[in-house]
Amino acid sequence: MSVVRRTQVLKAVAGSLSQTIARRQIQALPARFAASARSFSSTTNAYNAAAADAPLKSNISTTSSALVSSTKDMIVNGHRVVAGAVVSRQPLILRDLTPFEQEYFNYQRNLERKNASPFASEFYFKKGSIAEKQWRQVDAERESAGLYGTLSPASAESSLGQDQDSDMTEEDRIAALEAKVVFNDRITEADRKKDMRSLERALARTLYLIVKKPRDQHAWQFPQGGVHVVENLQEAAGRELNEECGSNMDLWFVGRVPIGHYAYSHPKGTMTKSENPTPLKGSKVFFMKAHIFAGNVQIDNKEVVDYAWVTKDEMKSYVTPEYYEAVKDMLSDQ
Amino acid sequence: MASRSRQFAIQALNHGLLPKSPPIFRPLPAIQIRTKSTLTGIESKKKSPKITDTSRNETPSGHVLPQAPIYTTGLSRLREHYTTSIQEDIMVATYKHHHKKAKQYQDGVKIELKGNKHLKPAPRPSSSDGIPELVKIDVHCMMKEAITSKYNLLSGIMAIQSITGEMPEVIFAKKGVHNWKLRKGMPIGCRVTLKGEKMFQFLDKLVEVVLPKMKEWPGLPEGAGDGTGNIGMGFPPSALSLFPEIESNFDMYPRMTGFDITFNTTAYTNMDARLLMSGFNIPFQKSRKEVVAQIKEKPSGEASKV
Repeated sequence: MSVVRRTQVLKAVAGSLSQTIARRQIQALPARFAASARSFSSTTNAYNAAAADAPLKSNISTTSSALVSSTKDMIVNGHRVVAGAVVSRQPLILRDLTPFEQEYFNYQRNLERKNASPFASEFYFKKGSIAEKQWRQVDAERESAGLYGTLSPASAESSLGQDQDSDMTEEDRIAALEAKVVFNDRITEADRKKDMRSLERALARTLYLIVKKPRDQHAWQFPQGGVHVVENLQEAAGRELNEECGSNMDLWFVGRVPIGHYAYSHPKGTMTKSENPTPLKGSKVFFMKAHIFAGNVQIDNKEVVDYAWVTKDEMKSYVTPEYYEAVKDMLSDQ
Repeated sequence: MASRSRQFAIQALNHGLLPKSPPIFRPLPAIQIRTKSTLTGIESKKKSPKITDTSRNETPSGHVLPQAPIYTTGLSRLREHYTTSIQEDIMVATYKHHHKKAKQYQDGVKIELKGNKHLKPAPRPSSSDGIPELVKIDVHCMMKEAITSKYNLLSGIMAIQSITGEMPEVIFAKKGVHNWKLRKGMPIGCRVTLKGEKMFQFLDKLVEVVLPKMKEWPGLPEGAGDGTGNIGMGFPPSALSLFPEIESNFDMYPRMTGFDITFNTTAYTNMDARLLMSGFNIPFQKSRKEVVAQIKEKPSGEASKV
């Protein structure tokens, strides 16, 4: 369901890209897994100028020989091209079951156990051996603990106490206690403290990184920054993450095509640079997908003042409605 | 009456809870026949008396199911991983905006391919329907010892049953091989087809327990796959003892046997199938290009550090 929507998003993104980028260039890109911004063809003067001196790998034909510094922002059709990074932490544990699902699985487990072929205990255990005795005991315990779905948990607990066999020695009991597996809590310390900066929170959900910029409006957003003329979207997103969130993150970018797209116009009076004779119409943000495996964000309080790892639902309360509307379809519901 | 209400219950649940693709799940009464002896399995199926008891493996039309039904007794770790991570990542990683249509041939035009090639399915445009999916896993073993005595096969059957949790189906020789003294119709091997939850459990075990223990195994080759989305791998007899079920009862199996595992996916190309399987953590060797690039990069990397 969500994947269907994501396809539509991808299509929209690619459509938007091909408006700004010459078609023949991008055609060859997905095959090489490189939607590299550096293979833009000569749609703008600014880019034409940059192409000559930049250390390019791809084949670009250009006649201009003007020198442009590599840190110049890429501008296409009056829009600044911006790369955003959607850094996600995948779910670490299985999701919670609905009561209906629980009932269903319980029912299926009963059926499976009822119809299973009998366990050939005489094949695995010699008759009268200690191993056989131990196995029978474990089987009885599992049966009474409701692991086979035959009993409700409440009655299982009460019967577990009675089930301790009288022929069980004290040593056996101690060994059983030591061998008992203790499960970790599904709700962590970070959940209880509501620590939004921790990656240990909401273990069953996908978390996304959003950062807070030092301004009043539109403060919370995905980490993003302008694409330089010599780099591709993925490089730009990686560089911006490094600048804004520090290098203490083990990241992996999934693909080199953007997963989402968001265009906005600049408020009047801002973003008009003296070096840019034509005023900018706005910015186009292309979101790149990445996974985090280890580490966390380190903020320097200059570009970014705060960060949070949020689920899709929680993001609603952080970002503006129009921003949420633009990005919601590329985020996982679970 | 009981059987009818059970069927209704299962069909009513078929909204998203159950595996998506029809081949994995069959909404049928969850009852099965277990044959008493493994070797006489095929024969005894014919003889099995037709009883109208509801606890028999019959559809309303009286057709006897060849395979045990699949129970979904809980959330599968790998299936959840597939739905939450792998599906999306494959979509992003393989997305192609411009789809090149396959060449259309007129009716009656014979397509001639060079060499020993076969016709491959045309690539489809990127869509959420086209994301490859794991359909089934085949575990298969062939024992040459079964030629001298068919009872030697029992060990292999027992071992395959232990590692998969399903009763294997005996395979009889399709034709005789004179040099091996194999005659047509002799039992020569066994096979299990895993689907649904059992499939994911087996894959989980393989990836987490068995493959890491295989010493000096470099991973699947970079060109793995049969060209139509299936990936096969062979295991030596020593690998069988790495399965936890066999490891603990190693002495009970008189003969270890090598076996093959085939992953059946809905992928259209080798690349897609490998992408899917590597998403499930099946290790793959680095391609020659990557290795060369790494070697080339190394000296320059060291130089820049200095």
